[in-house]
Amino acid sequence: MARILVTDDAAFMRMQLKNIFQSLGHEVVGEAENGQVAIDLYNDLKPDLVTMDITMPEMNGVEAVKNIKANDPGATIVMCSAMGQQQMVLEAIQAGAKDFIVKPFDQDRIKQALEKIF
Amino acid sequence: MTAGEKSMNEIIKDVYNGSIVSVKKIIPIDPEVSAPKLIQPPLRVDFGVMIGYTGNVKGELILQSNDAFFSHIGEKMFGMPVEGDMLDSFAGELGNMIAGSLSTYLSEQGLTTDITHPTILKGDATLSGFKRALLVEVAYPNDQILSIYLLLNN
Repeated sequence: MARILVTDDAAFMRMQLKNIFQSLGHEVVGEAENGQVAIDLYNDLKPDLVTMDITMPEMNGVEAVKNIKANDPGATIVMCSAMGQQQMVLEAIQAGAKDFIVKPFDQDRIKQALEKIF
Repeated sequence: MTAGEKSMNEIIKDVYNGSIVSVKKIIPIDPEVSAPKLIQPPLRVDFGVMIGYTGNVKGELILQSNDAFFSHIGEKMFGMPVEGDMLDSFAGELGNMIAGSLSTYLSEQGLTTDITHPTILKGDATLSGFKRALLVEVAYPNDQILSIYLLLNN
């Protein structure tokens, strides 16, 4: 069972991801509504996995990935964004993300990402 | 073709085609898409979501419908009706997914764009100050309409 931090500015998407992770037997230990909150919660909770949206107020997801990886190079982060263009995927992977899930997603896509990581 | 070589008409055609592709890809209900119409400011929106575009395409994408239809779309996409506080959040996310998909489509046409996070429009919002605006009406079963406004500032 993995301890997961979910980051998305939309409460609806956080709820969807939480339901999927719980139904796959994992624990959502925190929810962040922007990149800055994700950094703070990451430092407090040290989760096994972070899901990260890109377009968010305050701080975007790519900046948050860079910040988290700078402090903890072993952090495992998966992007979860509606922006699927090649340049965005490349930028996120270069920042240190392990996978890139394009919204909308289903449970099978989340399961596939988890199986690749754990 | 790069963004600098495209005429405004070509950019509008890419945005129109991309909007249709994105709506069909994201919303799992068969639509009937109308021809685009040019509209004049001001634009009035009762319930909708607005996403800003920056980069080679500057402007806003606005999705307008009624809350019952947004709830129905949520049910079709996620298997449960979306109500209450979650409805605003879902409408924003639906706008984010369609705008993100459009941005991805535009990148394949040589246009680089980024999007802002969504703003929910409720009540009787009035929008003006845009240079040109396209309206594309997408019809769904049971007389439901999703209006897509493309406000361009290029």
